[in-house]
Amino acid sequence: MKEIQKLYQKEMDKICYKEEEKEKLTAKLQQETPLSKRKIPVPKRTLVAVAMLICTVSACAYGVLHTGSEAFAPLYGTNENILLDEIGQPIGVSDTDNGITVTANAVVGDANNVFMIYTMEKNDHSPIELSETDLSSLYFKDTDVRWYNRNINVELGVQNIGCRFVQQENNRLSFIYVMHTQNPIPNEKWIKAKFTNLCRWDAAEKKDIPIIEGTWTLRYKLDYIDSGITIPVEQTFTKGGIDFTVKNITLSPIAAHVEYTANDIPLTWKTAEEKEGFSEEEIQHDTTRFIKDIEWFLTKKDGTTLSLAVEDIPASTDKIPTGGSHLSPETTYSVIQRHFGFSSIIPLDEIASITVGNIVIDIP
Amino acid sequence: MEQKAYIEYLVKEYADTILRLSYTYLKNKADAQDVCQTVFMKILQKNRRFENPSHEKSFLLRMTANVCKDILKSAYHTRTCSLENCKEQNGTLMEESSILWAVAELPEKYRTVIHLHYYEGYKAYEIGKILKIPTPTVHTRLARGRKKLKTILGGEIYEGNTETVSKRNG
Repeated sequence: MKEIQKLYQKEMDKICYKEEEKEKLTAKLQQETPLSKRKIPVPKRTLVAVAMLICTVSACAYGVLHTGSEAFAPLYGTNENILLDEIGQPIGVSDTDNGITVTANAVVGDANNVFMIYTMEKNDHSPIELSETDLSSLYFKDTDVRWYNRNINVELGVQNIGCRFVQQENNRLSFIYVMHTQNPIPNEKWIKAKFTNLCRWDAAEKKDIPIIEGTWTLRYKLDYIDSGITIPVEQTFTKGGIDFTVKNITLSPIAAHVEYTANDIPLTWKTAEEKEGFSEEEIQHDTTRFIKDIEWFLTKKDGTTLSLAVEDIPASTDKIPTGGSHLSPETTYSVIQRHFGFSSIIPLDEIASITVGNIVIDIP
Repeated sequence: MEQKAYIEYLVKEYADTILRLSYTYLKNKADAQDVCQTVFMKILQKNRRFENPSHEKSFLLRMTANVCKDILKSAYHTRTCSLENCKEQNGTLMEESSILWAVAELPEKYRTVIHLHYYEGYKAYEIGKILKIPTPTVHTRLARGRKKLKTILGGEIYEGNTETVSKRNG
């Protein structure tokens, strides 16, 4: 066994950090770990002065200590928004590669939605050259956003996820990472977001055109105020001969989410594999009777309405709103979940009701 | 010790140790590096004080074991990361003929005690404290782990013919 032990030790010795990896790890820990109490006690007044100095220096270094409305201006416009200032939480974590810095600026979210806004900027502040201004053609070749070591997509039942570029201004590209989930998102999780190689999709040539090569990895705590409310409903309506029960709705200033069941009516297909065996027409049959035929809209207190159906999203929209739906097969019934992101911040006190089928749910 | 110096100290003293134990659990260097960072972040947030370096090291190893177990229990690993898939997806560092591969073939409970005993040099009662299991259990796992390792490597190799193992490595 001693020989085996020596051999094991020899091979295990090779599993180690390289010096540059250790330096990078040290730098990351210094950047991302909040100052602990492991400090020499100093008078309170000095602490306040130092804290103010640190804040000022950090703000200069990263330029990220935005208010919520400043950070989300590329998405929702430049108007000051007190509500957005309250619910938008600053992040302020950056990573640099190939002379480009990507910064996670802020997050806003509710139980089923998270919008994180990032900027991408050259270190010399010169413009990022794009051959065309259509931001919707930009994307990262590889995007991986997850909790540390855990696949966020699997655990949360992510319905709709991804990056979209929303603005190029002041030599800075802004993009958002949008996540809509079936299951409630736990707050205060450490996020690892990795973006690799900025590309542009050439529709004519049907190929990627590399714009900037690099990998940007940001680790930070996903810590935001749940800006929404969840209302249990448990009311039934009938449409097309099918009884539907609205289970609950989640509503926030940024998005709406609803869950309802088609009672006693299982989906045509039960599994993804099974779904493959059905024709597009057969699959569409379920989509139509369970989703498209069910009205879903929001009514504001001023009497105006906003359709929350994906089909009603204008084709020209290249930012928010995003919408989607998910059908879950159960043995004897079907679960339908739908979501919709608003194009502007809508304070909850401006919303009178949400209508699903013919059930009108008043917002308290 | 100020924060910056403490971080440098942690990385210098323990990064490799944590990496190796995590690797023993997860069989993947990239995941092991993530664990290392997670453990350091946790320890920095806790601001815990230790009686001596030995206490500090065993605390960090216990924390590492817990983080690794959480990962192995997570839906991602249980659903998607079989050993074969891990090998394919991550371009594993383990050659199928190596001693590391042989240890990795052992069930997790055996390879952990084997690593802590034969690499880190801990005694059974110390391993028991780190992993929070009774000392007799550590003895049993060591014995069974050795026996299984013998089966995996083959009797002759186990008995001392390491040249055969080396050739297989080469």
